[in-house]
Amino acid sequence: MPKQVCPGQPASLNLPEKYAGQWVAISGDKVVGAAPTIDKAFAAASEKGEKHPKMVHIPDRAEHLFF
Amino acid sequence: MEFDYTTLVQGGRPRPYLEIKIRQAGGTNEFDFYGIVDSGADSTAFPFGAAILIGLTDLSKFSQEDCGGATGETTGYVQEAEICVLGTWYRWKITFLPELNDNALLGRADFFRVFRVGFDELAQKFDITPHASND
Repeated sequence: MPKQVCPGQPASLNLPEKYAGQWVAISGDKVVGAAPTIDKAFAAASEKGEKHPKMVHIPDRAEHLFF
Repeated sequence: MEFDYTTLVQGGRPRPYLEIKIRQAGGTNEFDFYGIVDSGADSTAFPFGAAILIGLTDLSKFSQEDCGGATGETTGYVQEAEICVLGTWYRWKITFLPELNDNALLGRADFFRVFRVGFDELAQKFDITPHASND
């Protein structure tokens, strides 16, 4: 049976470590803004004309365990 | 429906994220976020920055709740908002946390009441099924 594709399945972004600990604004499959805070990441995207980017926080790789 | 755990950073730990949307109750200004399915969260929470993005900027319209977490005590700002999960919009009381600098937490009082959730940690997959009654 083919695997069911669900609309809620996020892309495994696998972003480079430079984005760890950052909020990233994503349009399509491109990062259009990145900053330590959500408002600054959105502002960076907005300056590029992206009004509704996807907002994702990228965990710090050093944060090995999450509680 | 079955989902794979998601890795956000190279070399990072795969976790049970869903892609969701948020907007004001009755609003149209929608933003996509990732939410982690978190049975340890009493209810669904977003970083306060999400409230600002969708236009919830009047602090007098939030109720305040004392909240506790792994990082200590904080104040949560609670207001109804609409969350889209798997294409369906739900109106839930969302706790917006100024101290939460992370993706949304999909918690028990709302998400887990709508969906039956199962984890397969070995396979790094999770499964969510809407309950028969989703109100």
